[in-house]
Amino acid sequence: MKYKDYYAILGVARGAGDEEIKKAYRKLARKYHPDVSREANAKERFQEVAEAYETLKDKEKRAAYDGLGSFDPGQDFRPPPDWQQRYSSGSADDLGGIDLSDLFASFGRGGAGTRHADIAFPGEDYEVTVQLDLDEAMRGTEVALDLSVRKIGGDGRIERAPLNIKARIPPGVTDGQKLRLRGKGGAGANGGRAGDLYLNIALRPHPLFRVSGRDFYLDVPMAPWEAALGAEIEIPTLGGRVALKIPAGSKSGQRLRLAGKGMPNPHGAAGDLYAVLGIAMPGAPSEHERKLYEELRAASNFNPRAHFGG
Amino acid sequence: MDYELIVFAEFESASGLTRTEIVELVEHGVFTPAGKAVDGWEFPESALALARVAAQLRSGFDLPPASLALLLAYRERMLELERRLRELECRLPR
Repeated sequence: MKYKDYYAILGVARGAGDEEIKKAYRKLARKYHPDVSREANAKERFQEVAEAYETLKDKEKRAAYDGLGSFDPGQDFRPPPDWQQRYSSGSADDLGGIDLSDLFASFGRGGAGTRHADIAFPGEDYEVTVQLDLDEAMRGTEVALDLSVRKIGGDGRIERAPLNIKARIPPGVTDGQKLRLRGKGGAGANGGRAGDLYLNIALRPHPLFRVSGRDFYLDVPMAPWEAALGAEIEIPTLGGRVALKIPAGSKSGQRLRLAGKGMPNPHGAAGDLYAVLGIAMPGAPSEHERKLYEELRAASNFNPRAHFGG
Repeated sequence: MDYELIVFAEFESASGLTRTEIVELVEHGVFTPAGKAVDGWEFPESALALARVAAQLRSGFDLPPASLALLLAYRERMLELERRLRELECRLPR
């Protein structure tokens, strides 16, 4: 077994009081809780901190943990010979009767959990992030997931094992959506139900389309004369190219909506595609183009800054 | 996890919340189950993600249901504002 120093994890001395332990835990929980933390390894750190607190906040579990002795973090160790009898079977110390299986499991070994051998336990839920391209999300796809899961080996030791799962992603999933695959998690024990597999959908950025919910946004550059005079152009969509009519007098930033050309919705209306118009200026004008601009300047009384007043 | 309804027992088991906590969170308006009698409540599967977050927050911070309900309301509001921010960013040309 590898030793875990719960005191070091919480950053407190071995003799720390309950209040000090609670205070240290709250501070770290606030820092690393996956729902509020922006730290890269928040989930792992939070699990570690929660595991340490779970043991140290409980008088009996803490005594059992202290009874193991003190080692360097990660050091191989064995509990003292009488440790299990003292803390798991109600000994004269009156610290007994606690289920040490959690503690053993934390250290990588299933141990004294036999007292609950007849109780049904549900299997572990697995949660994994699935990165998809936009067109995969639109059309649906099948993904092969390579997970590393915890399982109890034949010798009762908790070990990591690879698990390959194929999961069907239905068409029309959105960024941030959570899919639940019932019963695809870890196997239950003693007749308990299997856990579930949760897939967190994350869409990879697309070079052309920006995605907001089920709506797509596409930048559509126009030549100045297309904006002024209007034009019929073609733009890409994920379903192929479509015609788009630019009205005369279009402005930069104006949005044209193509209904139903966004992400499909298996339970309702599909999202829309918005063409975000922008006026692109050509590079250095030729002599002829320059003359035409000068003619336009002379002929037009347009003042784009009229709202500044004065 | 949007449209399927799941029964109370499965919701409890899959969420990690206790029955009492779920009842209190329903009273605080966090979840809106279908059905009148508690035993007959059915929850949309989409509520399960929120319930699992609630269970994590409860065990992480030792929160009573009333505080949990408030925190979840703020979280939902924050997510909605983030969604709105993303939408506005999408509208801007690159």
